[in-house]
Amino acid sequence: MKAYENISLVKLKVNGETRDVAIRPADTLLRVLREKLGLTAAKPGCENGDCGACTVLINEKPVKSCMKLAVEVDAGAEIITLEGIKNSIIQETFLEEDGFQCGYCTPGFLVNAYALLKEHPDADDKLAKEWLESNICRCTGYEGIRNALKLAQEKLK
Amino acid sequence: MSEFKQIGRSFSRTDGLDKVHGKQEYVNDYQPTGLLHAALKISTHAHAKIKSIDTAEAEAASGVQAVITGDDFPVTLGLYMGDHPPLALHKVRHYGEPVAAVIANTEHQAKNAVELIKVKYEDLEVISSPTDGLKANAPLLHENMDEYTHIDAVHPEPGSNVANHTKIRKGEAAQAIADAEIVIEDTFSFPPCDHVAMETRAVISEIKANGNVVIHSTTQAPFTVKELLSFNFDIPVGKIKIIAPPIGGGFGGKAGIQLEGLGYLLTKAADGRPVKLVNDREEDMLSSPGHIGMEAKVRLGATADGKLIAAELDYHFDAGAYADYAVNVSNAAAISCTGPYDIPNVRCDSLCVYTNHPFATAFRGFGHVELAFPIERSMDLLAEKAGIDPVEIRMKNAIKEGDTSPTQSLMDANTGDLRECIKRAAKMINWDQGSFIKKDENKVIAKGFGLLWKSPAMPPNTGAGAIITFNKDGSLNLHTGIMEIGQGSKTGLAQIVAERFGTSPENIHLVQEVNTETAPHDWSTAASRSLMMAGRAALEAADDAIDQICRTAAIPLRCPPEDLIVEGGRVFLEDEPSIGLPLDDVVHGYVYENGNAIEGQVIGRGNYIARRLSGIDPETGKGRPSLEYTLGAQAVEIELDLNDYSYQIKKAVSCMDVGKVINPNLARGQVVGAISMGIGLARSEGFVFNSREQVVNGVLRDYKVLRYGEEPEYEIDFVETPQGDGPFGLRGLGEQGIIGIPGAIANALSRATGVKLNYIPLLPEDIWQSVKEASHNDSI
Amino acid sequence: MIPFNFKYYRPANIEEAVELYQQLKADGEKSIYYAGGTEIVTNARDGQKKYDALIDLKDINECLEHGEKNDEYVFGACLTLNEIVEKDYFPLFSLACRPVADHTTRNQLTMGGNICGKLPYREVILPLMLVEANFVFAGPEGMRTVAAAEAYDKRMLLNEGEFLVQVKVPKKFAELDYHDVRKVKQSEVDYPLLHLAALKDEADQIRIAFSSICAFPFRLEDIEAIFNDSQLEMEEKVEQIVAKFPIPIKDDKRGSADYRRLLLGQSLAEIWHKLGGDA
Repeated sequence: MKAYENISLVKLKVNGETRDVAIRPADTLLRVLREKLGLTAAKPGCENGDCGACTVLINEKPVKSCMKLAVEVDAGAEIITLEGIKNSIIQETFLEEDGFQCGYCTPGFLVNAYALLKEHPDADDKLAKEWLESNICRCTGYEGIRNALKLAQEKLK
Repeated sequence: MSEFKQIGRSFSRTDGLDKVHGKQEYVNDYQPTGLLHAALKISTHAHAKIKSIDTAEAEAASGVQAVITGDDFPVTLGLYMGDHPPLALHKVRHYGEPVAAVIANTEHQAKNAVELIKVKYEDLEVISSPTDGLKANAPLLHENMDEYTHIDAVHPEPGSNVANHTKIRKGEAAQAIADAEIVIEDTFSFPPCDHVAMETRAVISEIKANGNVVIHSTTQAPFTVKELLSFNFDIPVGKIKIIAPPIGGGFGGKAGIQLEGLGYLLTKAADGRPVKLVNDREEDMLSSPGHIGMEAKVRLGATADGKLIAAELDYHFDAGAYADYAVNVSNAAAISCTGPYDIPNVRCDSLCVYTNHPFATAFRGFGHVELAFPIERSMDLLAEKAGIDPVEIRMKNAIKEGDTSPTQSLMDANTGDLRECIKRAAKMINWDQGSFIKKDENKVIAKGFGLLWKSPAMPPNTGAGAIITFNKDGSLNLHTGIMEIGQGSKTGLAQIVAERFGTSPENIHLVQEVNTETAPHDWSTAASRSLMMAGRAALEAADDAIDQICRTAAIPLRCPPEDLIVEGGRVFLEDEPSIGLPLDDVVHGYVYENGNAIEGQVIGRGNYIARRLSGIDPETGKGRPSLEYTLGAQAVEIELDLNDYSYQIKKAVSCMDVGKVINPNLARGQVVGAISMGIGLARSEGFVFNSREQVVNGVLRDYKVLRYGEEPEYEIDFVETPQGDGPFGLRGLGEQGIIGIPGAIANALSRATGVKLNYIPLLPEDIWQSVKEASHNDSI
Repeated sequence: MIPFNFKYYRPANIEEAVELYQQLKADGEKSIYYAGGTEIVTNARDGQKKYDALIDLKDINECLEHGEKNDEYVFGACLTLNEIVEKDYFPLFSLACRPVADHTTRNQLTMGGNICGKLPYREVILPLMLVEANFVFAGPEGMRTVAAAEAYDKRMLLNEGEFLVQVKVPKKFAELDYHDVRKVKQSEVDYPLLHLAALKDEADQIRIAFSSICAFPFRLEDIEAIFNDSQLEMEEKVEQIVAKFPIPIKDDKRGSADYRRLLLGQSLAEIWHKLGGDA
């Protein structure tokens, strides 16, 4: 049985690297990524699971890292943050279609949209809504994000 | 073929690559060495005397450096009126008000210690609305209002809960209403709500050994912060440095002064060590300010054929517990009180009333989205009473050049073409195909219209500055005090300078972060004025740099400087382009073969100050407070389910006269984003209070903003009637898209239900209640 | 940011988990079984709930089981809602899982967490109440398998130290006609004003389970008898059904009892229409 009773050393596999880090069992993955590993792309928008700005991939699935304890992903799970996704089609189309303005929700939105495209490159509007309604953007009115997703789907064909 | 090469082009955002790779740093991403963390104890009461605060246990808790309460720093701060202690002093005036702060080595230690602070309250009678606050026997929220310092333009009424009273007296409104053939009168309201910028407010403050105060802040207004800190804490202004990286959404909520005053006290209590304070989402909604609420009474008088002749307007704003920007929001709403309509006789009394609600600050639309709601609903009511089509009645009364504004200032030659906007919006929403369509037994489609106008509400002497420096390769650095808040102004400024230099915006390097020590002074990134004012300054700086380049180049080129032009990275003879020099040979001084050098580096300098603006007369409102007016028309199409009154907003259209579109994609993005925020106000956003005026939906789980897939199809158009004094003829467009939308949605839903819906947010249950009440009243 | 500290354990099997709970209890520690964490972590952040220890069940094979055994589908308590939706053994179950929270959260939120948590909605249990599901509990007294009616009444009837291991659903129910109605205040990403799951059984009787209309989910035979009574008009049915509710209709910040009553009537009519009543 794994036990974490106090400050504990964990091994996190983040963006292809294994990092040793000492954490409190109560530390959320979001805080560990940002404050211990310097990976600040994932953002605290609400730390309540409501806004999606902290979304990262865990074993290819989008997860809100504010609701995940870092001890839960010790020695095993593959964590990908936006820093680990470089020059993807969806990043390109977010730029082309203005899928962001202030940029604060963008890391979470991009990670989620990236995962959607990987799992369902042909996602229709309904499926795209089901996935992307997990994230809040306050700037774009979602038009640029929708267009970026569609353009990425075309480019992937 | 456009006469411009860079203006009117959808150049990609200069901050884009960093943002899509997670490399854009915001204040909360910084972790300076030696950082301490602060956490707030916030009030659970809306109005109460603080009997005692017991901090002993918190002070003894692990990792705690200091605990401070209002008594430690008995000061009051304020933007326009000094009514606001950074930590509650003797009493709390709203739910969520900070009453104590803990500074500790780590954030979790600070938060743990906060829970150990024990506050005893004694409840006081609450003020739940402006109506409540205006009652003769209402409790006074600020007993010492007469002792508060305030700027001249604010007119508080000590002995009452009125923080500001703005009067507009144009013509003879009461008489004209009495003479009018058609009169409508109604009341309208909406509750306070929040900006919900995705980045919550954060501050990192530090006092250096020499007494210099350094503050990293999520602010739209670094210079305002600097000056207010100096004023309130008696620190020489030059010893304060505000560092403001791009922010994660502002929408007005980060204008003025927010956490910085408290931030200064925190570092002071911690011996000057750096202290970080970050709002959690709930604090950002409740402890920091949000959007103002309103109760309005509108009376419009018109001729039988629907020509407006008079308006009597009572705007009672719910400022919440402190004045902050609310006193100017209410003022701006008075200045533009009629909406974009030509009305010869106007009386408006705009009151900013203290209540026990979370306090209000600037919000996208600043007074105009607020006034537009009652006005646009009233225009539909008037249309109905006059039996005139709602679009036609707006067309008939739309303001135009030669008319006068409510402050009796002339709508000059720079007035946009509102009628053209109305025409295009009506076409986009297919108004002529009907504004009420019964789709089937349970579904109706309805449309609603709303006009907008907006002018910046800012001091008459507001200015902006720009400095252009050069790199050794001849590329430019553009320094301004404009904040990147998501709006993309810096990209627009790069395009403006690039146009003048005949180069690509890629050659303009933008200083993204504002540091008040090095950036030219700027009032605030607010009021949709950045591109217009800093754009003018940037143009002047560009011209200044070009003059210097030509002067330097003229010496080795042995020609009059006025024969030279700058384009494509060269300075050359306009009529003999082969004779010239690359810019990198000139911008750091020209060097002859033998090593002799002349002239030195080029530093372009530009500024702009608003022209011919004045304050307004306190009794009549007469004056010229408005830099420019952006005019426009918007409309929506909704589909309503008559069973449960759920509805979808299918389409939203907008056409506004922005003078000149600098970057079409970014301009569209601003309008679309603003519309979505207007939809939020109309559809779901509003604080819900219980009987003790505690906010019951102050968390994103319960406070519903628009999500992906709930947005309508957007159709956006622009008219370009040049603003003579705007750079390349442009005027502001960042906020404006929000303004007409709440009224348009309420108009569409009123049409769909056949019932007057004079409030927002319009939740299906509330619509159902209104329909029920209306049919009950009908049957009486 | 969770301000207080707790211990975190990840037992490898059921016995370890049960023993650990008992040990912690004996040591005077307040512990809680942990699955997806969406509710526990968010409640811990705002300081509403404090624990000394979390016992994470996600390494326990039985809690992750997701398959067919004989004539039953087996759903491990630690399956995420998305896993259930994606495999889609039992379409009505998928329908009930699908609107909970949002898609990203459903990669984390588990069936067991939704059913056993403190939040009153527990939408995921609705189909399970309709299909004679069996609930497998593990605890200090060993394992026990309990029929839905005995496993749940206003809350999961878990004894101290027990946890839900899995739920078994007879396959035959996956073949039946069903309908699911969920109404919200305004935004779809929200707790519901009401959520009804309905199924037409082999005897052509419609079964209905109710969530969010009252303070807890329920299913009542009396209500179904009224609903299936072809002699009654829909409005009469609704009237009589409401009278049979175990507690009054909920009246809270999401919606008034009156509005919920309106939506209930419409939703019941919709179910009747979709499932063809006794026709």
